[in-house]
Order: sequence, then structure tokens, then C-alpha cells
Amino acid sequence: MAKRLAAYVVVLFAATLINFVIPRLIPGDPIRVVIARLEMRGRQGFSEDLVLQYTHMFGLDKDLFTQFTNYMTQMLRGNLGLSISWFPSSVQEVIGRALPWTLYLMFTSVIISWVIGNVLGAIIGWQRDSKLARAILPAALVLGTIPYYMLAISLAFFFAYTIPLFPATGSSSIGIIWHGISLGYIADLIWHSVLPVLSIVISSVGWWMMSMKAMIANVLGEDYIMLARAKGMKTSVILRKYALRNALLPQVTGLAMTIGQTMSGALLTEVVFAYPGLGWLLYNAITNLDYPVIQGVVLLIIFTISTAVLLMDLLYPIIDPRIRYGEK
Amino acid sequence: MQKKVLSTCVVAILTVLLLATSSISLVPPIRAQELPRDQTLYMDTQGGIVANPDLFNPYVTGVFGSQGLGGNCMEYLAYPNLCNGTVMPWLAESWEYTADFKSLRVTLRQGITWSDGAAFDADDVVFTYSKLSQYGGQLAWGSDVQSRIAQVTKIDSHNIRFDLKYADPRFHCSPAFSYPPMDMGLVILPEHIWKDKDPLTYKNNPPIFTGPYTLESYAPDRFVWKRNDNYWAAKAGLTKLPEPLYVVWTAYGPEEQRAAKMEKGMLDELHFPSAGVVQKLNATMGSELVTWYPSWPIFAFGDPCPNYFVVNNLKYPFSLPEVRWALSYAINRTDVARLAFLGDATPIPHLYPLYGGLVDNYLSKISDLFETYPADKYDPSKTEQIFTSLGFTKGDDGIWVTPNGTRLSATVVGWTTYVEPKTMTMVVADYLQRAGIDVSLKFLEFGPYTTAVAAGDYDLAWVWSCGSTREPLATLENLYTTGYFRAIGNTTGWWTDMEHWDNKTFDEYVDKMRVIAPEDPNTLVYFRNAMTIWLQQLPGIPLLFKPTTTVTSQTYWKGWPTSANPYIQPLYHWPNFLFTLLKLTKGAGPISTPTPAASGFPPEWVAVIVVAAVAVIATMSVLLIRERQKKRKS
Repeated sequence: MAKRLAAYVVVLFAATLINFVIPRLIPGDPIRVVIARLEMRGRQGFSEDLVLQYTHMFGLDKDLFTQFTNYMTQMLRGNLGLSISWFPSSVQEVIGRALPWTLYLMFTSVIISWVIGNVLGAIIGWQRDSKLARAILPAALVLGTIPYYMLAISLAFFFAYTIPLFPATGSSSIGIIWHGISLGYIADLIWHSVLPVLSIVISSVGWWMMSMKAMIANVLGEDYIMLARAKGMKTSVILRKYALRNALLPQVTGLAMTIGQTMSGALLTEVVFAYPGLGWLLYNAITNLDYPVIQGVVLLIIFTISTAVLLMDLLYPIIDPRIRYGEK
Repeated sequence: MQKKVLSTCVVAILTVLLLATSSISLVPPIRAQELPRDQTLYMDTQGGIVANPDLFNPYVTGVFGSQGLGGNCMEYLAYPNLCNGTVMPWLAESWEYTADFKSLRVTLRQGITWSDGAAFDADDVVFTYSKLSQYGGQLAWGSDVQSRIAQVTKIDSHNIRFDLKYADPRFHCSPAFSYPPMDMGLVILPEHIWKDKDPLTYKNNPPIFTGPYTLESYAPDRFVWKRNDNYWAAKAGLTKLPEPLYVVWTAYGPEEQRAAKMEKGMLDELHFPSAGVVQKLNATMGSELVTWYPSWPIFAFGDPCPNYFVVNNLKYPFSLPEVRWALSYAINRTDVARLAFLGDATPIPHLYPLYGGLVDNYLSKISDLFETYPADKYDPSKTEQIFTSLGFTKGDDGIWVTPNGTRLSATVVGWTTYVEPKTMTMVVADYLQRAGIDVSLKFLEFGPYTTAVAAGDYDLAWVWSCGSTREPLATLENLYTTGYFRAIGNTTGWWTDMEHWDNKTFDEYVDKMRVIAPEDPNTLVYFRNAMTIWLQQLPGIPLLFKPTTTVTSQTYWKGWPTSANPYIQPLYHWPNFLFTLLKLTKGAGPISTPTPAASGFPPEWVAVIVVAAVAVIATMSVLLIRERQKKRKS
């Protein structure tokens, strides 16, 4: 346990260091971008003094080592700094505004696609030659290979404009002003998330299904399955209690990694459906060379993935009693 | 058994639906406030989700400019009218220069109030300028104030004197005046709100200004403004109250979504759609769609910022004016217009928009220069002639080789975000390639793009030129070199000598123009002289006077400006949107069943469906469990 925790800390530090360096490798100067944007608004009178003023304002006039130590010191105090492109908003503010939407959208999508994908994968893996398997498998493969943007726009076209069942864009109804949290507001949020969630589920369920199918296929040949069959156990019981449980372990690992990656948001989903998540935020931060926001979002991703992997490591012995760390 | 399960499920579903339907009447109203479609104007931000929607401070770098702050809420001392070339006084009633143009007296209108009811007066003007002078370049337009203004003095509650650092007859149209040349400008701040605030960090939420709308609510994808029925201009009899009760600026996602919203009546204005989308909307919406011109392909208002290509004047062989002219002759601008804008763009031999005032008073008076120096002409034979005369030879691969043995290659930098600039860049690159130049295209996102152009990290780069709209000085100032000329690697400003061109003679004519009034006959003389030098040297390659394609719908709101009714420019992201708001009246409404902004069935039904689904699943589960238990017993 102590070793794992130590490794966790080391990974976090190393990733934070790389996270600090990499944005600075992107060609361009964020201060010049800020000044160019000001000038595009009709301001005239560029001067090097102005560049120095802004560079000092954002702490970029110091050497890299000093910048990094300042960054780490402030980060440990919970201060991620000020956004360059959205100044004077802080990094916490801009991330905090986008984070709940990403958490909701991605968690919901990931869990739904994981559950559906694994259930279907188990069924078609168990009954490879059944009519159900022959119907589901090609459909899932086709849906999974459609370019996401086309899939998302098509869903919007069919279910928002042609048959207006769901809203095409936004996180809540624009024509309504909600005052506070209410059942209606929550229902409105859920209703607006149907198409974005559905698009992600459709595009990712095929992957879970195929991987579970492969796991089940591996497990089918095991001795304990043959013994269970020989003992006359029901097929559903064998599938649920023996095959699925053994095949699920790698899928749980995959789920942990995927949940960790949800912090990066789903850029195309957020673009197509105008959903205010972290994907769009990160994309804009990168194109505008907003180092603090890039670092903040990526730090969140690093932290979530590392924590998810650590939790999985700790939960493995509970999920699979055969695994006991430290035992010989 | 299956029939029994099925019938039980049907009964369960019907029971649940009945209960849910009757219980809806008992649920308190869950729609707090629905915006009536026929009283709401929906505008397109086009910029996507806003990361910091709570920021309404116009002076900081991170403010989003298209959420309605400029057009709905803030007002300025004066506004540009690009249609008739005038300057429209608004918060200022009048202004008068001293004979030497070193001082300006501004008289404010009577009766102006901020949206919180406090009086707007000279103290607010003096306060604003003192802050800008104090903070300088840290605030937008602060540098302009510091460089142009010596002092701002209150004469009385409605009169202010601006003492200028030098004779400046165009001060009232400069960024240092409360006059928005583009999407935002120097706006007067309410002293009673801002006096104890740090202008660098104050978010100004909710924004208090003098405009006809106040902020009702906001989110990353929408800004809702509600009409202020105590609007000072209506009370003063200057105008009537705008008819839309609400103005909502929305982020509806990519172009396909926004166009679909417009078709369905959920959006009244569409910002910068591509020509193909406009064509489609024209076909489906018919007379409900409003464009500047009713014809095709020239349907849109001309953009005040013509597009062109900067050439790096410090890099051989592009440092030679002859080579720059050769490049210019190699480009078929008509084809660029056709491919990028479906023909709705005009090749131009300069960097000026083709607005009436500029054309009639200045450009037409030097038309002979454009005959002598046809910087919009496509003539690849001239390209060949020029290169040959310079001693270039053509290699076996068709690429020119300079006298010192290097292949003639060019890195062309473009901005990747928008379709039309990309298309223009690709078409120009293609023509240069055909002319025997080895072109490599480099498309960059906004940050790297602006840095590369400003630092001279390009051979050619697509840019746009925002300068003059009424008379020629502003564009010439963008080309001014003294004090702005930089070596490669050192940054120039945006629109200040991006070409890294150095020409003191040109600068002298610009200096002379600066200190005389636009109507002074010498203005034309200096303009001709400056343009002669510019055309001879051609530091940048002019390209197109292109459209700014905003289209609107008159289904719910009519009275949009058009070529038949050109009361103001149709640039709705600019502060002049105020004047469109004041003119809009209610449209006839949709011919078919109205489509509400919140489309689809009410969200209450989601609750019904969810409850019904849960009930069905629960009922089936119970029945199946009971079935199994029975089987086990038997």
C-alpha cells in the first residue's frame, strides 16, 4: 500500500512537470496573442513596453525554473493562477464552470455505454451463432465506425429537427429562465443531454461490446465452465456467476481509465451540441496559448486518471479474491 | 403466461400514465419564466460557448465581445455610419475643435441616465479618461488615450474639454474617443459604480450602462437582455423604446445547427454563414430571409476589412518590389472570389473597403494610379517577364531559381479557423504554385497564427486590413513604418507594419495628412503621393473586398437594414446594432404552426416517460421472479 501511494505521488509530480513544459513548446507567444486581440478591437499603438507589462502581469518574465516553482507552490495552495485569454477570470473559475457539465455528460455516457456494451458483449460472446449475435454485432461495428461528427449531426437532424423530440443544442432551454434548482430544471437538463449522451453511447458501445465478447470467448474454454456445465447448472447462472465475473476484470480496468479520461471532455460533442464542457475549454485554451488553463485542465485529467488507477489497484483484491498483493 | 405478463404490463403502463397525468396538475409550475417568442429577438454569437460569461468589463483582455454588451447595453459618444460615411453623435450632442485642432470641446446631451437611474454627466467622462490615463496599456484603449490626450477637463456638467498632445482633426473618430471603430470602443464608465473598483479585475456584473437593455440572465451559451423601459433616449424623445422585450444572444453550435435553427424560426440572425448555407436558406426561407442585396451572388454587405496577403519585405527575394509585383500578377482574384465566396467578392488594387465616401471622395480621384499600377490584375505572362528580367531561371520542375541558385519557395501562412480565409489561402497558393513558386502551406490556430505573422515568421500570410471606412488616413496609419518597423523575430503590432516595410517618404505623407482636416484639399494630394509609393513598392498584395455575411429573418422581426433601406451597417456584433434594435418592428409571424424557441415536447413528459418505464420494468421483474418461484416449487 505504501509503495503504491508513493508511486502515485511520483507519477503526479512527473506528470505535473511535463504538463508545465509541454504547453510552452507550442509555437507562439500568449502575450502577443493577447495584444493582437486588443489591437483587432480597434486599439492602436503597439509598443514593446506593453508586451513587458503584460508579460510581467502573467508572471512569464521569470525564468522557467522560477515559473515552475511558483506554479507548484500556488498549486499546492489550491491556486491555479489567472487565465491569460479570459483574464481576469481565474483558472479555477473557468474550469469550475465547465466541470459539472463534463462530469455529468461523460460519466453518464461512459457508464451507460459500459453497461450496455458489456451486457450485449456477454450475450453475443456466449451465443456466438444466435440470431441476436448476428444482428447486433454488425450494427455495433457500423455505428462505431461512423465518423463521430456525422453521427452527432445526424442524430440532431433526425431527432431535433425532422422529428422534434429533443433539443439540438445547449444544456438547458434558452427560451426559459429558471430561477434556482427545481425538478423542472433538472428534467430540462436531462432532456437536453439526451442527444449528446446518445451520440457518445452509440459511438463507444461497440468497443465495450467487442472487448467483452473477446473476454467471454477466452473464458468459455476454462475448466470451471466445463465443470459447471457438467454439473447441469443453468446457462444463465454459468454466464452470470462464472463467465461474466471472470471476464469483467479487464473491463473494470478499462472503465477506470475511461472515467479518468472523461475530464478531457468530449470536444466534438460539445461543439456539435453547444454543450459547455471541458473539451471546448481545453481546445480554446490551446488555440489561444492560455498556459494556465491548459495546465489546469490537464492537471485535472492527470489527477483523475492516476487516482482512478490507484483505486482500481486497491479494489482488485476485492473484485477478484485470487489477487492478493504481497502474498507468495 | 406471456399473455398474462403482457396484459399486466399494459394495465400497469396505463395506470401510471393516468396517475402521472393527473399529478401534473398538482405539481407547482416548473417553468419559471418563458420568453414569449413574439417579444424575443434571438441573435447569434457565432463565437461558441463562453468560458467566462460573468465578465462584462469592456476594458480587460478576456471579455467576450459578442454577448450583446456592445449593442444592447453600452452606448458611445458617437458612432460611425458606414452606409453614408457620417459620424453620428449620440451621447454627445456636438463637438467643436479649436482652429489648431489641438483641443476639442464636447457637449453631452441632456437627460442621459445610467440604467440604475443615476445621471450621466461630465464627471463620468473625466473619471473614465483619468482611469485610462492612469492604467495605460493595461486597459484596452489606454495606450491610445495616453498617446493622444494631454488632459481632460470638466467645463460644466455637460461640457468637457479634451486637450490633445498634437493637432488631431480626427480625434473624434479615433480609438481614444468614445467612438467604436469596430466591435467595441472606449466606453464611458459610471463613476458611482467604478470609483472604488480596480478596473483590471472588476467583473462589472451586472453591467450598468446607458443602453436600452439590462442583463436578465446569462450562461455559457446564452445572454438574456431585458428592455429597460426607463431608457433615457425614449424619455428624452430622441427615439422610441425598442420593440423586442428581450434580446437573447445564443451560442447554437456549428454552422449546420445555427442554420437549421434559423430555418425553424429559432434564430433571427445568423452570423457569418458560408455562401452555400445562405444559398440553401434562400431556397427554403424565400422572402423571409433578409440579405443586404436581394440579388445573387452579390448579396452581402461589404466587410470594412478587405483581405490581402502581407509579404515579408525583409526576406530575399520578397524584399524586391519587382518580385512582389510578380506575385500579384500571378493571382487570379476573380477565381479566388468565386471559390471562396461563390462570387460575392470584388477584386481590389488597394486595401480600402468600397464604401461610398471613400470611393467618391478619394479612390475615384486617384483611379489613374490604379491604371498605372494595376495591383488587381491577373497576368501570369507579366510574372514570367518580371522573373526573367531579374535573372531568374526556370528549373526542369517548373520552379524558378534565383540568380544565387536558390529555388523560389514560399511559406504561406493562413488561419485555420474559418472556411473562407482557408479557401482564399489555398487558391492563392495554388496560383503561385502554377506560376513557378514552390509553395508550402501552413495553417495555424489563432495563437500561433498571430504570433507568426507579428514576428515575421512567414513569406506570405493571409490577413485582413481594418482601417479606413470614411476617409483614407486610418489604413495608411496601419502601413506606417516609423517606430513600428522591426527586424524579423521582433514583433510588430497587429495592423502596424506587419510587412516589415520601411519607407520614410511614405511616412512623411502620412504625417502631413494627420494634422490637416479630411476635407482639406491637401489630404487628397498627400493621399495620392502616399498611394503612389505604396503601389510602386507593393509591400502587401491586395486581394478582395469581401462580404460580411450576416443574414436575418423577418418572420418575427422586420425592419432590418438593407441596400434599399441602408440606415445603418448590418454588422450586428458591432455597437451600431443599437440603431437596428431601435428600428425593428414585429413581423407577421410564421405561416405554419409557430415553433417555440424551446422546441420539442414539454420536459414534464420526460418525467412521465421515466416513471412509466420504471413501472414497466418493475412490474415485469416482479412477474418474472414470481414465475420462477412457481417453477422451482413445481
